[in-house]
Amino acid sequence: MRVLVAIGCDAYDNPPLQPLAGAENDAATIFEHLVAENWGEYDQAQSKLLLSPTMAALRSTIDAALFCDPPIEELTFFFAGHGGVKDNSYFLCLKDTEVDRMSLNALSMTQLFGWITEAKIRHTNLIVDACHAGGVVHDIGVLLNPNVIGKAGSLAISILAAAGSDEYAAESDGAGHCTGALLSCLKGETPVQTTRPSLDLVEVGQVVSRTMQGTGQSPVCWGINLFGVSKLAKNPRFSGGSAHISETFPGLASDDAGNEHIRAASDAIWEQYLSLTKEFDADRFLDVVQPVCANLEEEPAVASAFIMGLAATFGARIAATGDQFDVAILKSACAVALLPMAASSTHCADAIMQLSKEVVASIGEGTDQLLADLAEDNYALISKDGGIADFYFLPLRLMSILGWLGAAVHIQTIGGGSTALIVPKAADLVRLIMAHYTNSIVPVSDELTPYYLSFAAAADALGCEEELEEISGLLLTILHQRGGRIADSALSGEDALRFLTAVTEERYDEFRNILANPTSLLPAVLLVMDQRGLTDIADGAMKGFDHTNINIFVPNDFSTFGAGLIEDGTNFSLTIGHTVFSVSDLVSEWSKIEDHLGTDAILASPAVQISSLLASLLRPDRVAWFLVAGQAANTS
Amino acid sequence: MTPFRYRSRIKEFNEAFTKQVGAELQKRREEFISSRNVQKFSHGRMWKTKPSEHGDEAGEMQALSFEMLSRFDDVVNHDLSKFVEARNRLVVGLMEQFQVSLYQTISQSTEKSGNTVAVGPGKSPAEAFLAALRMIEFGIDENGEVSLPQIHMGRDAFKKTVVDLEMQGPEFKERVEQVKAEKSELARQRERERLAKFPPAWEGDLL
Repeated sequence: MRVLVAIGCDAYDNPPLQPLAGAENDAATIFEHLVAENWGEYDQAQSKLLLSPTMAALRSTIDAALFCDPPIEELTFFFAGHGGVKDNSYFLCLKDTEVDRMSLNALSMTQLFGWITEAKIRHTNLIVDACHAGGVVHDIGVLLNPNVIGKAGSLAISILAAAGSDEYAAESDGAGHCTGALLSCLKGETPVQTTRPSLDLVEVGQVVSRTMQGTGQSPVCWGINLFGVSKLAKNPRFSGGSAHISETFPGLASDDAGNEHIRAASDAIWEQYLSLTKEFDADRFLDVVQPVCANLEEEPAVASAFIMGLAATFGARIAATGDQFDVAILKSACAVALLPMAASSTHCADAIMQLSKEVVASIGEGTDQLLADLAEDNYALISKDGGIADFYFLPLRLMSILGWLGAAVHIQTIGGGSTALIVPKAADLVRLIMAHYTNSIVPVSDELTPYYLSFAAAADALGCEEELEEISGLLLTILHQRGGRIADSALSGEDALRFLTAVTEERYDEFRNILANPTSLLPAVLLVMDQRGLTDIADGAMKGFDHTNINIFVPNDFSTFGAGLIEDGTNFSLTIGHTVFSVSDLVSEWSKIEDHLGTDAILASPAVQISSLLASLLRPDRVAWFLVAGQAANTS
Repeated sequence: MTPFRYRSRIKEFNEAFTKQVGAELQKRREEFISSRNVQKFSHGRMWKTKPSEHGDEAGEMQALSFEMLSRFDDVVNHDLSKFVEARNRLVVGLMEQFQVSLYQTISQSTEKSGNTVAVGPGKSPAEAFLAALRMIEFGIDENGEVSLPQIHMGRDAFKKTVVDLEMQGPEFKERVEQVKAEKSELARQRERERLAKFPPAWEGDLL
């Protein structure tokens, strides 16, 4: 069941709380749109509109509306009126509220969260159009406190607060500004998205925040969908048919085992969510969500709903930081979390395909951003706080960008989509990078390999054949100068500095423990050069790589390709000058691996291919070698 | 529940301890195998390589494990000698397993190729040493220099061999030197043949 409780409080009995003019109107308009006009498909009988209620009236309404059997799946709680922070807790002020005894006659967030938890509500949308509403955030600690929420409690909540904790929420002409912006989204006057039939509060909130920029009021919006994508209202702008609210949380019965696995990880998920404003760490995210998905292997519909919910809310929060590549990384991590079930569950395969479309969209937006940034400043790709560390990290950054551009092309190709939108801008960006940053195309670390291979396999589609040849030549030349020595994947910052010291002082022997031995980048470059018809040039370098160990790792089962450690698989390991001498020797060994990859039944699934590719970009100690399998050598 | 858990600092401490043990193991391992011959694999238990005349085209990695026990009493009594002892036991325990695994692998390989010398009645340790030298192919290191074989022996066998070698006359030493010279020349010849298998190299560093 879906329930809306809308409260608008214009009348205040006790000074200094002054009467308002638009709060009742706001609540009534929201109620009218979502309940009476049925744009939210909320239960008509159970949903309530309260105009200037007292605390007692609110309690009795909550008792009737929230505590029902079966428990409410999705609750939307709307409040317009006065609000404020007292003793580090946020209160909603009601008709009989007295500011010196708020704990008695105002509604605290602690109290509200307690009710939500006790009523076992699956997901709550909380909209507060009141002054200092960002102060609600102060109470997030309440959500994380197990004494308050109890074991059976819901931790899934999305919040739109009309103003920052130090701001006032404005109203004019009998309507709150934030509610006005919200209604504009709900009615389709302001577009939010066109791809899904319903709207999620977090994505609506991001648009509301953007439209209110510069008004002196900065709405705060955040939240986590733990049990699937929440559905605030139907999406009037949906382009794929009629807008509707689909089954809210498929397969999630209130006392389902799946719920417990999700709840058990909820603290860690919240922790990740709250730290998103610093940097999104895909590895840490996967460390938290992969075990949950592993526990949900028997319930793939629940797993995919869980992951799609996280993708929506985490994605919106990361998007607010302005880094679209980080959004692509988050969506990719979500797809990788479902990889173990991609071949066996259509729910998970469909979710991966949906997420991969969103990855492409984010890469597209990120590319637009970078093109604009580079048009303004040639040095836009240098980290503003990186300093000399960019001697090591800029080459990584450049190859990462190339790899993700390649991934966008692969996703479209594997998924049967069009590359017409992404290719022109991606090719422009590749050319700009090559125009300004050629000297930073340097093989600093073996973790370049998956990005290089992703770009290489997409170069034809991008029309960047010449750029690929130049990049391959640069990598090979510097690898040759360094005798095949390259840093191991994922070095700490301290070890990265040690590696650069080893390179500049040619003291490789003292730093062997941070070198990649064997390396995957060298065989990747040699194979790509062979496929581009540059075998003769690559052959000329082989003697310089004498004694270099090279490796191509292939898992037994690509469903495991996203795991932190892939236990079952084979390292095809060769030593130049011992088992291989020429590029053709390597190609001959590669052809056996290629045959093996060509017959891999699990890899035939597009969802597995896409999420395996994404896994290699998120955890670059593995390489999606299948990208270059089946590509005949170009002898022209 | 234990209060004051210092979770993150304890985690850091344990990670540092693991690193310390790892560094000590690396130091000990280098007594047997040069670090340039040590490879690190991130994933997978199996490996394959191109079949060679010596075989060994496929294999499976072996896990070495050693259990370390810290007694509550030792901790409560703050007996730091037990802490050092535990760390040393861990290093020694893992190294012993490594050595066993290393010598087993070499033994299996030499038995397969027939490169074995039996020391017994009628064959002195010095003669066995010379016979072994004749069987071994010398290598060439990365700098193009001949690298002489390493000799690993049990303590008693080593003592006996050294005593017996010292008792040999100049004629024996001459035979040893002759074998070394022949083997070195063969190694250089093989190295020339090996390097000839490379395609022509670039002129200088130019692509």
